[in-house]
Amino acid sequence: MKRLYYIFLALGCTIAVACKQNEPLLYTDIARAQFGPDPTVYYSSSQIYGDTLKNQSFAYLATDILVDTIYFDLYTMGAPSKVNRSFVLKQEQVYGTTNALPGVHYKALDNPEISKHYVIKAGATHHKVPIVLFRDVSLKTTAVTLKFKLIDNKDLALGQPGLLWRKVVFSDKLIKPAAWSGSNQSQFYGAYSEAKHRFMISATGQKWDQEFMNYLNGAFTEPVQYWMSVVKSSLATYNAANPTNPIIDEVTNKAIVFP
Amino acid sequence: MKIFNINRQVANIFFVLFLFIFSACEKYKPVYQYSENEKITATGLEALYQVTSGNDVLTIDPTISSNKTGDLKCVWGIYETNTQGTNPVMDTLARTKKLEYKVNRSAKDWYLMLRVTNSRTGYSQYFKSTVRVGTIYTRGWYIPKDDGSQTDMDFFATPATSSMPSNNTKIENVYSLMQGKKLEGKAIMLSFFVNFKSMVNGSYVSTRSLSLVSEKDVSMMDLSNLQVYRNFDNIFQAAPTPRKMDVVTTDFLKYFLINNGQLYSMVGQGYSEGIFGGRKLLTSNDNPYHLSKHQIIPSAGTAYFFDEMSSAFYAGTDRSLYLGAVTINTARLDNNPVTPASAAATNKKLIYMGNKVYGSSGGGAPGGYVIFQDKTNPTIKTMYQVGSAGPNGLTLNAGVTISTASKLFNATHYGLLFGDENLLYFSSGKEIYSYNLNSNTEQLQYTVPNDEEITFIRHRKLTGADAYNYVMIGTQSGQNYKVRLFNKTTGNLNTEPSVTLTGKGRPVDALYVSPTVTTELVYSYTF
Repeated sequence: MKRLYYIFLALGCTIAVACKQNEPLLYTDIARAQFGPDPTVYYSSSQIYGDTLKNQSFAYLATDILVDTIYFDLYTMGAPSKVNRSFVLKQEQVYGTTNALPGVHYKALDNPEISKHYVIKAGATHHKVPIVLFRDVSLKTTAVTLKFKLIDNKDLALGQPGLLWRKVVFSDKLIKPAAWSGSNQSQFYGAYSEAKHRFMISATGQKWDQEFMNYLNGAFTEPVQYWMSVVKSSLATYNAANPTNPIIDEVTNKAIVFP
Repeated sequence: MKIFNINRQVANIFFVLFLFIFSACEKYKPVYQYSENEKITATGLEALYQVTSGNDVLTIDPTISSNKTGDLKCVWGIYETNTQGTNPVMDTLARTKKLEYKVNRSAKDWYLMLRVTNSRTGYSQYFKSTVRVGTIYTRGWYIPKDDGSQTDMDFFATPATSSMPSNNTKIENVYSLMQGKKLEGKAIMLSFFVNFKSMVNGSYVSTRSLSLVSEKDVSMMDLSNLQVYRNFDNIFQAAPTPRKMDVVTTDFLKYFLINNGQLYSMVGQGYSEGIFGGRKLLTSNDNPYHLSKHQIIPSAGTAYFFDEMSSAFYAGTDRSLYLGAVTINTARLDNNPVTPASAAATNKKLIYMGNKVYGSSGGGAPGGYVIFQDKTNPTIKTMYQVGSAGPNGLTLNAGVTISTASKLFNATHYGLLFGDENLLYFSSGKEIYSYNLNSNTEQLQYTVPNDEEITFIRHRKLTGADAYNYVMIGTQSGQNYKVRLFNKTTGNLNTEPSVTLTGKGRPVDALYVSPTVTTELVYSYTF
């Protein structure tokens, strides 16, 4: 029995020494940078690859607005620095799309007017990266793609491989929202055309994009009734005032109508 | 005899293993039990309790027992009925067998739950009762009125045992008393809704509500406390202009609102936030229209409206953005067919239209009556019985040309008997007449004193615990009003009113509410 006692004792000691408090991992690597989602969802693991692509359309803006700036979120890894740290962006060509042209569709990323803003301020670990888009006339007919990536430099090395790039697809065209379909289409909106979409925006001041249509698709039926009442009434007013100049559906070449 | 030659160390290992295996064994517990199931009973619980919030103490001391031995523990809770989008949360009221609860809930139906648990067996049984909560405002008569420019209402509380009002229980100007101000504009109407949605604790719930409508505003009030939760500024998706309220009405499945002759609708049974949708259009060209304040609203059927501009009927729903054209399928006037039938309404001004009964389809009783006046020749007035003929059609039958010599020709106020005798009450000067819709004869019923002006005629009735059946006549004399509530015998008014309510202002209606009114379908929502 004495031997049995020793066996249990040895087992107990082994188990005891095997326990150890879990210590947090400390970042000991060099300073790095990578893109990420909006700071409000930064610590949500499901959102880490969010915001990779932005769709932007000048069509929602007034016709005299020729420049628009969009922002992406950049984060540093490692301790904050006591000095400003610059970072470098470079366009990457995307096969099979119309790539945006620097100076035509967007302000070149190495243009000092914009690159001077590509700086992580001292003490900061996050920066809103501005990308300046131009409303070139070609955007009326074509959507262009601007994909850009981080380039390592003396201040910041590259972070996680999948988070080193961002992409923006932009145009001056309206894009049919996914919610413009099914019963919504048959009951309220009718067949899609950009002319109709543009009229709905001008008549209501609403974007009629996916987000707005999701709101109209909510639990209550009255909001969509209200907004479509405004749209239809506005179209009737327009048609009465412009009997020989109706708004033409670019697909059917006929005056736009709603169900 | 030694069968296996193993050393002592190996034997010890086997011994340890055996200990592990032994400790892993568990005593078998049979799955099946053949003993009698436990049954807990509680007696002394009523199916329904009617209480007044802020006043009554709900005292219940049930007798509880179980067919198994053990100590029985009680928990009382209360939770809301009819919530939308959220599960109701139960509030614990007591953990004693005897419940003594000072009721402080809003006026509506609640579920009272008693859970009895046998602490020895762990078995619990639940018992549920309905608690119908009222407040001092949930039982009595309301009289909407105005002073010529602003609207208010008086309240005449009634006891739990009777719907008979008394001037001794009057709370004058109860609307402005609770809100601190009156509604702008003259009084139009007052309605009671059971299911209008209001936000309570973050979710929309069916709320027993009063709807007070003036020329320039509307107030949706929680009947519990008369607090306003919607008004003209937030009862629309965007408040329209001008502010010119006509009516708020319902057919149970949907609500309708007419402002400046324009129709708005809202879901009545289903998800709603208590906000009306967009203005309905007549056509895709948005042709102008102006609906009469009079409609025929069958229960959950086609609601008929009348466009005063085109002299045509239209149907309204809560789903379509458009008013639906309604065809007059047949029309008969003075025993002759009107050809085409649509001519019965062509170039006509609608003088009066109201519900006779709710149900009208399937060849049943007529839905209502309409009185027209010719726009070109005002001496021509006609009256028809309105019947439903499918979702997009109606009939105008039993039409009569109203003689210029008749009292009905010069009538100023109308009141159809809702569901009772086939009579139309109306006023002519100081006199109240009944018009027999079967024999087309008139009969003087009552004459108001010379110094009084008749302001409304209304028939309302209720069956059940708070039963009443009154033809009500409102009058104004100077700054004061009288509302006479007449019982009737075979359609004729009794010689004297059962009670006369008095107050200040110009009354436009009298409406009784009580916890026993649990559906919108007891009253007509037309004038």
